[in-house]
Amino acid sequence: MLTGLRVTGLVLCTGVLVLFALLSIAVGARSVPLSTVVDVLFDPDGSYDALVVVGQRVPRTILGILVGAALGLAGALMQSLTRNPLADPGLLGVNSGAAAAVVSAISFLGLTSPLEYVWFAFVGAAVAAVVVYLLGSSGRAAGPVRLALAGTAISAVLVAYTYAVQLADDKALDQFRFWIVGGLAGRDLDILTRVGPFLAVGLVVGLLLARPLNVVALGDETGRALGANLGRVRLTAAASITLLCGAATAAAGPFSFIGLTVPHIARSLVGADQRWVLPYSALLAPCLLLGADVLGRVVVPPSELEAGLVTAFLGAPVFIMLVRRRRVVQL
Amino acid sequence: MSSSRTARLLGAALIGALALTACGSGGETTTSSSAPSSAAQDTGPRTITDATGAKVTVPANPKNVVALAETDLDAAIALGVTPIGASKSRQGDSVAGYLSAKVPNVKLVGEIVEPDIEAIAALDPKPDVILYGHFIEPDPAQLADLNAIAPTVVTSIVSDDWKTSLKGVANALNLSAKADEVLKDYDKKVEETKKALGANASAEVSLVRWNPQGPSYLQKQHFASTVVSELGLKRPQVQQTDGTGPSEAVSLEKLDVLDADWIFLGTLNSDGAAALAQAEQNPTWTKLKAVGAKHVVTVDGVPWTSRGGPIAAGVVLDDIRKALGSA
Repeated sequence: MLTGLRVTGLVLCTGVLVLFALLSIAVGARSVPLSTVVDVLFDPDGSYDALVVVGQRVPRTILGILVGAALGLAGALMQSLTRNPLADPGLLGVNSGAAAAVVSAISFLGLTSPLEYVWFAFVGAAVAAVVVYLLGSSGRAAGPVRLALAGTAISAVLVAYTYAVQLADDKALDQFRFWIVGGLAGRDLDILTRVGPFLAVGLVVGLLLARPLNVVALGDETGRALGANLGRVRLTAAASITLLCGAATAAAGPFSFIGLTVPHIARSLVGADQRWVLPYSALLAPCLLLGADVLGRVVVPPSELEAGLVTAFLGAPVFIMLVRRRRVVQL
Repeated sequence: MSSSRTARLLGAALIGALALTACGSGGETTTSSSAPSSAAQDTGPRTITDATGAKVTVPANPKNVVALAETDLDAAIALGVTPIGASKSRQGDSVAGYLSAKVPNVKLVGEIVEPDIEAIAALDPKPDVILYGHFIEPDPAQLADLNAIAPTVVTSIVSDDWKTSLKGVANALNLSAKADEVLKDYDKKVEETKKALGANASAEVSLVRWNPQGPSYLQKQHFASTVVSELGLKRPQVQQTDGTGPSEAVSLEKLDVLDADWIFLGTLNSDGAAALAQAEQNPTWTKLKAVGAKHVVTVDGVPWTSRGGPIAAGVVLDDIRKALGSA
């Protein structure tokens, strides 16, 4: 595939994302006529519709774009770093670390709102990722497989702990079961302003890793021969993944499938060159997330289905189809 | 590896989703199914027919009663019986807050719908009767285990209202006459409350429960809804959906579904203040006419959103009178 085509594709993906963003502002549980939507966007008159569109849907859309981009990019980085096509951001222990911290905050400190747990989620994600990284990169057999194994082991421990706390504390279970399903509703702009900087740094660092990751993908021997500092690339990638997933999970709860599926779609479009895979993943993932969120708003009125559930339903068949239809693009 | 993690997360997500819908609605019309026994003077054991149609032989005047459902605990206390064992309430490590002072020595014997069989068997004195009035279908295996300890009476079926549940409890405890008195007192209290409402006698009220993921309203056949309609108060048309439980969560975009002349707002943590704080984080909340008029009343969600009982009904009437009454 030619570079020109890939650039055109990138522009197309951006167009699709803009389209989904507009859809996410126009469509919701409350039906607001399109003309009204446009009016209140340019002139927020304090009416009920204006509050819904400007006060709820716009922040929700921005959050969806950032969280989606973070998860897509983190998934692509993760798969490239571990050379494991089934790696998803959760593999670093990020989701389970965040969940364990949130359930502790609810149960032991009695916190009640997502705004209060946001730092716990973030710190929990970061601590889990650091532990996994240290375990996975120490010793003689350091490498992608060891990292993945360390992540799985730590996740298992954290998930067990999370279940134990939930079983011991009914009240925590009640709060926690709503957090554990990722979603964009009711997470206001305050959360975004808190984790936004982390997301931004993670996105920039992650995208800059494209070239070094291409070298790493040639294998450790060749990579070293070409002068790549493998350890540093792995460390930077792990830091970027932690920032991205930690912030995304802290802001909107854990999502499965987005980080796993989207990089496969990106690679099936543009091949294995990370300089294209990373931006494509970062653009396609928010399309999936926003699409799922919009769908979730309209399927079960007057309530909503959390985006995390919809992505799982949408992501699974797409992923199965990808795996069956073609050979998964080699990492 | 990661796929199994994903599966676990997905499983958790699905369980969460099911849990969300588990408190959904079973909108059937109620049919009374417990036939009160007329054997009030007997001293020997009585054989009664419970809500499932099963024949149960119970002592004439049971002293040591275990109430596995909040609605039965409420009814038993109202009938003048002090149960020796009860389930933990939905919000913590004791029986429901509004009842706990009335049963200071009660032993906790498991969670709602998960009775701890060993704890019940270990009760001293041994139970004479176990009241089993759950908001789910009776579990035959559970019933068999419980019957091995003491005669177990299914006091009500899922769709029964609180008055039917009360009669079921009275039937098991041989206190049917007392139950009629309790119901008469309730009717009297309804009339008194009606009179006290004055100008608000035909106000439209919204009954809202605020959950961690957003609000739901109480549906048409829900206990608190029936009390409100017996008072002659109106409910918004959108809240007239069939069902005995709270509705599905209302999207934060559609908070206007909650609007009325007055909003009664509760949470399960018996902390109306927390519910209000969460509601007030939504700019659309401030647009509601009840909010503008300062007509939001925070109430203890435990009796308000329960399956009800004579005491809970009294709490609801008192709360309404306090908020809307001119007297």
